[in-house]
Amino acid sequence: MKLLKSTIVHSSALISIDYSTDRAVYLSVDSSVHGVGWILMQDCSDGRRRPLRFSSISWNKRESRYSQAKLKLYRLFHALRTSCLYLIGVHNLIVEVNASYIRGMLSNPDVQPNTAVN
Amino acid sequence: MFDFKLVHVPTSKHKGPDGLLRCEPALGKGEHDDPEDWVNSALSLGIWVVSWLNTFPANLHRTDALILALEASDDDEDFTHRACSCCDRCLPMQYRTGDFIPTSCTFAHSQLLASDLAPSNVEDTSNALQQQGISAISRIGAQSQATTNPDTPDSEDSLAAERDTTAADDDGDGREEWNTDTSGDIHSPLYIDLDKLACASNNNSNSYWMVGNEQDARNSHALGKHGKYSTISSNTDTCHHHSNYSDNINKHFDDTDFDNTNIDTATNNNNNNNNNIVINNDFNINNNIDNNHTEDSTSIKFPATNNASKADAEID
Repeated sequence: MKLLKSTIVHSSALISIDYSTDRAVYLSVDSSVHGVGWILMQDCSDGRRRPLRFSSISWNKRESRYSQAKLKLYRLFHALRTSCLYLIGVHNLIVEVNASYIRGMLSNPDVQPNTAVN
Repeated sequence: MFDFKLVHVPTSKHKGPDGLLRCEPALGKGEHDDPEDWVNSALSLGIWVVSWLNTFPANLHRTDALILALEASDDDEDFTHRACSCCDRCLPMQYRTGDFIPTSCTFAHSQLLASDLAPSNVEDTSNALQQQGISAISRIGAQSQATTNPDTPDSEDSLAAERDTTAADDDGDGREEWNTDTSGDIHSPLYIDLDKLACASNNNSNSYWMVGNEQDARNSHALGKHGKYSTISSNTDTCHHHSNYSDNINKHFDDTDFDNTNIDTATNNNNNNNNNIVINNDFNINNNIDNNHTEDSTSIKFPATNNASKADAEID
C-alpha cells in the first residue's frame, strides 16, 4: 500500500494547476451510498485532460441514509468544500455530474427545502 | 463563492470518480456522533443518579459509612476543593448531583443543600483548618473525643484539661487506649475529627474523611488509649435533624449492614489498591448524642494495623 501511495504521489500523470491560463478545470463528482469521490482535472497544452487532485469521502451512517436526490446535491457540496483550496482562483471551472436534475435543484430553490432536499 | 458551469455527463462516461466512491469507512474509525448512543448514555446517567439518590440512606450510621466510602475513593480533590463556594461543598466533585436532589428527601435536603448548612462558626472552622492542615484537624480530634462525654465543657481550657485526663482514661470499650510500641514509646491513636474535616471541605455535618496518617496522629495532641484499634472520632455542631435519637447509641454492625452501593465502593477501592479504608467485621460505630447541647459524636473504630498503613499510603 505504501508503494502504491508513493507511486501515485510521484506519478508524472499528476500535474499542478495552472492558474495563469483560461484552460478549463474540471471537477468530476460522483457518489454512492458509501461516499463521494471527486477528481480535479485540467486541460493541458497538448490537448489532453490530466488529473490534478483526487479524493474521496466516506459517508457516516446518517449521511448514507439520505435520499438519492439529496445525496446527489450533498456530494457536490462536499466536493466543492473539500477542494475549495484548489478551486479558488480558477478562471474556468466546469463541474461534471451524472445527474441532470441537480441543475434544476440549484436553479430553482424553494424558500423551504423541498421534499427531495429535505 | 464558486462560479462554475454544471455539465451533465452520462454514467457510461463517468468512470473516473466512480472508482473512488466505493471506499467504505476504515476499520477502527468509530462514529461518535450517533444521537441514539448519546441519548442512551444520558438516560443511563440519569438512572444512575436517581438510583444513587435512592440508596442515599436516611439513617445516620449508613450515611456516615456511605460518605466515608465516597471520601475514601476521592483521591486528591478534597483538599483542593475546600475553598469552593458553600453550595459546592456538599459532596466531592464527582458525586455532586445538583438539582437532581429530590426536595422530598428530607435527609438529602439537609445533607446536600447549602441553604440549611454553613453556620458562621463552621465557616470559621473551615478557614482555620484550611490554614493549619491535617495537624489542626488531628488536634480537633481531641475535642471530638472529649465531646463523647455529654458533660464535657466546650471551652478550650477545659478541652485541654480533658485531653490530659482522657489520655489516661479508658473510654469504656475495654481496650488499652495508649499505643505502646516495643521500645516503650507511647503514641497517640489515630484521631481525626472527621466532621470538622468534613465541615472544612463540604460544610456537611455528617460527611467523613478517611482515617488519618499515623505519623500525623502521633504528632497530634489527640491522645487516647487504643492499643489495637485506631479510632476515628467525629463531632458535629449541627445535628438538628437527628434529635430523635436517644443518648449513647452504640451500634455495632459489619459489612452486611451497609447498602450495596457503599460496600461496592469500599471493596472496589480496596481491590484497586488506590484507597485505604478497610471496613471489615471489626468496624464499629459508636454514636453519642446529646440533645441538650445538640452535639453528635461518632467514633468509628477498626483495626489499626492494615488500615493505618493504607492510610499512610493514601495521604503520602
